[in-house]
Amino acid sequence: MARNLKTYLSNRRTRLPKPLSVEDAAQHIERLHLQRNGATYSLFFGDMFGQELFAVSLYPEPETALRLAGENVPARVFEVFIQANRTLLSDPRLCVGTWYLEEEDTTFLDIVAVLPDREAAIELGQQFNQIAVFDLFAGVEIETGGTGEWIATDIPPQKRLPKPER
Amino acid sequence: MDRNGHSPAKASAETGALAADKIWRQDTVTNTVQVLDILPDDTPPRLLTGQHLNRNGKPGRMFQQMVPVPDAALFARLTSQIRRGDTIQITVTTTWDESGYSAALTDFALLPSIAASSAESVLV
Repeated sequence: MARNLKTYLSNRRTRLPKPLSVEDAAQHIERLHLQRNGATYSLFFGDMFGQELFAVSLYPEPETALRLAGENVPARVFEVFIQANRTLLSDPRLCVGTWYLEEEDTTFLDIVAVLPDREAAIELGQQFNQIAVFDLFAGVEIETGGTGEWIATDIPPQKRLPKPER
Repeated sequence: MDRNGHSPAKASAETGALAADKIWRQDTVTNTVQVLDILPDDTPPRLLTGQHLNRNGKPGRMFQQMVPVPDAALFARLTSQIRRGDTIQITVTTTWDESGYSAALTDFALLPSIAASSAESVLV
């Protein structure tokens, strides 16, 4: 059984752990979000904080990216959001991302792709004309040279990530 | 600019008050964003926004949201006043009901620098 995403993707003999229930995941995200003002959360591996992963935002659609008022977001909100995006979140590289921005008293909630390979993340960012990808471990942005204009019009969300190479 | 009477860069959540309509939560937030794209051919038309998130003064990742603009008059005003790359303030309302959730642009405002340059171009 893979202990984390990196192990899972790098070792073909490992298996994914059973996904957490939506209710448990939502309650855990609620707690983490309040503790750290944000979370990156996998249904398979839980809290991804501190892992050497690169985040790419490929899902800006209204179903997968939301702004919420305030810092205190009840578990029910996360529960409904996870249910609505259950199919996408069955890919272990996709996580629920939350971020509280104090200056605007807003919580940002989205689906974010996380990859252990820096070059693969940059390449994916470039493919989708992204301005940058984010190094979760170092906490820095890596510019990818895109303008951010939307070019994925004809690519459904579930086809934006390449097949995992294991 | 916020139709609900909130000052810019503030947010509000109403929970439970609209239960009779099966709406159990409504978030109205105002944020300063960069206009990444305007998508007039979508139904409803949409605005792709980008916003750099930060924490403790350190820059963080960029959050992108494609915001539907169902109000045709608002979209017409938007396209006449803003261009790709502009930084504007948007107010987005997200409604949570029995069937899920939906977000919509409910207002926007030009930042003073853009408003000034728009006014200049009108005068020319």
